[in-house]
Amino acid sequence: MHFRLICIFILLSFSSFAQEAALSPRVANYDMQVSLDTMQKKVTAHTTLRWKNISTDTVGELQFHLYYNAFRNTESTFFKERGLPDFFSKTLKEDCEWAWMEIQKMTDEDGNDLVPNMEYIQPDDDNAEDRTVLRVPLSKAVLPGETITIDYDWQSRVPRTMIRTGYNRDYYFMAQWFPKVGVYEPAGMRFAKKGQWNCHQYHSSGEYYSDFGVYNVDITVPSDFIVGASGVLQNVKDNGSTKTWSFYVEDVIDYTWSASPHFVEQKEEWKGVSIRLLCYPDHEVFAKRYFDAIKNSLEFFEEHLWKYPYPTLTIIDPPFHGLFSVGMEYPTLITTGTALFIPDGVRTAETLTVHEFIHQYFMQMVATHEQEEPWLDEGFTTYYEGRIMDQYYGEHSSTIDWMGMKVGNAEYNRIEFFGMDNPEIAPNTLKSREFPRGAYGPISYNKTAIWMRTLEGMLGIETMDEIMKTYFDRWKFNHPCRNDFIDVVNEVVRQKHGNEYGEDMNWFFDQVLYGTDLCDYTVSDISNIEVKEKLGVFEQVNECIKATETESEEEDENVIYESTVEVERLGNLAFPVDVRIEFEDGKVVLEQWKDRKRSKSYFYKGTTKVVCAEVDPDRKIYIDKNFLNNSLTKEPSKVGTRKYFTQFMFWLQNTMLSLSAMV
Amino acid sequence: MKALKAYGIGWREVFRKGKMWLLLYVLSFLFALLAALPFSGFLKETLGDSLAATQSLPGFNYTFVGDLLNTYGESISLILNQSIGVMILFVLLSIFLMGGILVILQFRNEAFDFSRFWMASGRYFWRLLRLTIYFTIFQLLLLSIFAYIYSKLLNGLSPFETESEADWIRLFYILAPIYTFLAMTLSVVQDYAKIHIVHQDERIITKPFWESFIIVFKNFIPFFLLYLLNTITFLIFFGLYYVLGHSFQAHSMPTVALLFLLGQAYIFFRIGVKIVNLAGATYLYQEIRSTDITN
Repeated sequence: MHFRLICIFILLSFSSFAQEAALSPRVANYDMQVSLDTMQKKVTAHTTLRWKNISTDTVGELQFHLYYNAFRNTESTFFKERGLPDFFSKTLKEDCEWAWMEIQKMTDEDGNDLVPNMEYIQPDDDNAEDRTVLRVPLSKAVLPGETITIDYDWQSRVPRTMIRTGYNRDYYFMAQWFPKVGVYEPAGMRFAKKGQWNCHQYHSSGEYYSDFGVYNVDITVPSDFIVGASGVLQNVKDNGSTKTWSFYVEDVIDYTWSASPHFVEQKEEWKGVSIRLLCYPDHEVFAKRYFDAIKNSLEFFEEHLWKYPYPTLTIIDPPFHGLFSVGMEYPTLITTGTALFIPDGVRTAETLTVHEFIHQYFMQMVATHEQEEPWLDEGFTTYYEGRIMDQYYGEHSSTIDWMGMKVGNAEYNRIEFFGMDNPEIAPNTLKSREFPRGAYGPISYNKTAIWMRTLEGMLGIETMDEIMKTYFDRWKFNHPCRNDFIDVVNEVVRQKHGNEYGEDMNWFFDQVLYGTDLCDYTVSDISNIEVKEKLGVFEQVNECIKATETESEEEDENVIYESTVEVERLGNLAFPVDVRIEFEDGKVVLEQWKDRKRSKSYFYKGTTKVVCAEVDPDRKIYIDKNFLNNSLTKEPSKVGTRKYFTQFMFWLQNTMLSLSAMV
Repeated sequence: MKALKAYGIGWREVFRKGKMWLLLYVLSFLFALLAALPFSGFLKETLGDSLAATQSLPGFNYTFVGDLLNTYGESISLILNQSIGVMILFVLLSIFLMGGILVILQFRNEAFDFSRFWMASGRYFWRLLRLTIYFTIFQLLLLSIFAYIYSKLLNGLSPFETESEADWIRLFYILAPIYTFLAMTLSVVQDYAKIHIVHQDERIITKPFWESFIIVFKNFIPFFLLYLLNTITFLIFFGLYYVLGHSFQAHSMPTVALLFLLGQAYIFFRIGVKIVNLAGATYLYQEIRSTDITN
């Protein structure tokens, strides 16, 4: 009896442990046996997909992404939007190295053949030639809470040096490489008004969106190849001329792997997380920099959001001919990169590594829609990239610290945004593919990071951290949209600051997220007018006030000034700002300007004059496009301008002498 | 030994012709000042009453530079375009002065003579201008040939056609010294062509052009060594300027003044090294010509 009870207790413990251990809803679960033919550049695979309907809808079809068909011909939506870049042209046009992906056989658990009813659909643009989305009507609809098991055989031809994926020489980077089921969104989820599949075509700009699941993947490659992949390496089976590498990973939204016979492996560990680096031999010198960057990021997030929950992280440093895959993020696998000719002080290696790692939190764990709302992952990641880089590598030297040139990460991002031709060209809320050319990066990445830093400046770092932690805790292993983030901001700000910033923070998001206007504050004028003593006849005609004769020193002391400081809002964006006013006697007054008026005047009366004033002296409003006009002084110091003038003159003199060396 | 002796004579001549050294420095200063003055007005107009320039002083401030370029990019570009015009004028002036410098250095033990200097400057201007154009074309051709070879050997510098960027670096390490050697040799030939034009008063420049090639290749070691010595001297002065210039922060008027003086000292010595090179080359040329005549 006791033995039976103990057994039941143990079983219950295991089952409750298993339930607790499931971090995500595990909607799309894959078992894949994959074989890479490096001669034919083909992948042949069998996949078992177990898809769980977690909605209350009855679902009668599945939709799959077949991303490799974007590289099938010139008529795909991808190539129609992008055109054929020069470096692809020869391999495609002359060598006919077009890539493709085809499902050859697909059956459900009852053995029904699903192939005859399959059709390619084009939900975004009706381009009939685009085959990147496949609709599969089911023989039997999936009821709420039910799981359907689908088996399919498929084959693909691997593209050469294509964007983010493919091969070059004997380096393979396999991303978006398998038929991947889309996301079923019931009414009320994100922006869905009714139950629908969210399964976009592959566009020239924009990334991905998929459901959480468990992946059990066997990858067979030539025996001299080394494989790096999402998840934990279970075993490597030697088949003679080939080897099968088996990996397992839980609660991730995608699966990616890479293989090459030239990979060199290095491993380190951080609090139970095994960090595996695969790079080519001449890049082994960068290993310490990559590991340090990852460990710094792991430490930062453990402190600020949540401890990295996966047991592994694989870093791929692609070879030079694999540049097409540099700087990408996939679940528990990232690609980074740098080059031997880049000086150590230019921290490309660290910046890329930190950035791609942050995506493990914003994109992978908080699985926002990368194509519909790119700012929610790229912008958040860029914001945290600035915080991590500036914290660990120096606020004004984290990106470049070389030959006297120092550039901080956050300031680099700010200048990147304001340096674009027209920073007002588009709002943050566009889908990736809707951005005008050249605007996607600066707006999705940089502008978001700048306004997040502005939010941090206004509310304080503690509130900001609480906002991010609340948002992360609430939405990890889920698919939030912008409204979910805004709701969290409103909730936390109300809790921490009451009505200090109004009823809610929507005014902030209306400006920075939905709007395109710019912010520019300036101090336009400082005046100090001496108050003259009243002279003449006032109430009584027989009482005349005459000028008093005083010693000049005494007179100076008694002089009264009426001082005025005028500040202006040149841009359309308005935020609460501090105004720092400094007087001749050293006194400093800190004012706050909170309204939306175009200008504001501050008046002072006393025995001392205003010498200088500065709007936003602590640079809290990081989205201000020009800090140069934030201050005004009545007693300008010439040191700065003299230095820049003499430096410019020296540069000219030196250049002139260098040119005259031609003589 | 010949090169060392010529180098020593070069320095002696520089100090003996101190007025010429000073004149060249003052001209470079005035031209730079002329080109930089609009920038001074621009700084006063845009930053004169702001705290930004002073706040940006400690070290390099990227936010300051970025805001300046983003906000006033067009004005700065206009100023730079104007200064390019002044730079071209300065190059023409350098060609003009070259005749005067070479004639003054021709008379080794004599003091600097202003009238001789200006007369010679005018006399040889057109010939030296043509020579400069020819050698500039040669230098560009040489650079193009090496760039072509570099690119060809690396499959058009396409990363996708490159095994490793180390291949780029390795080939650079092989080609760069060869290119530098050939470019320096061409400069040596140009120096002796100039000297030949002035000494022989040649009007048609093809003759001194070819003769200088012959002279240089017959006496390659001392000629090249002298050029190398002067290049090393220049690098030492540059290194000293760089180290000293970075050893303190210019954030007060005295330190800004010190940085300015340091820069001007470097410029002054850079001009000095140029004269040393020409004086040493003139000495070597005269020695070789006298030996040829004696033989």
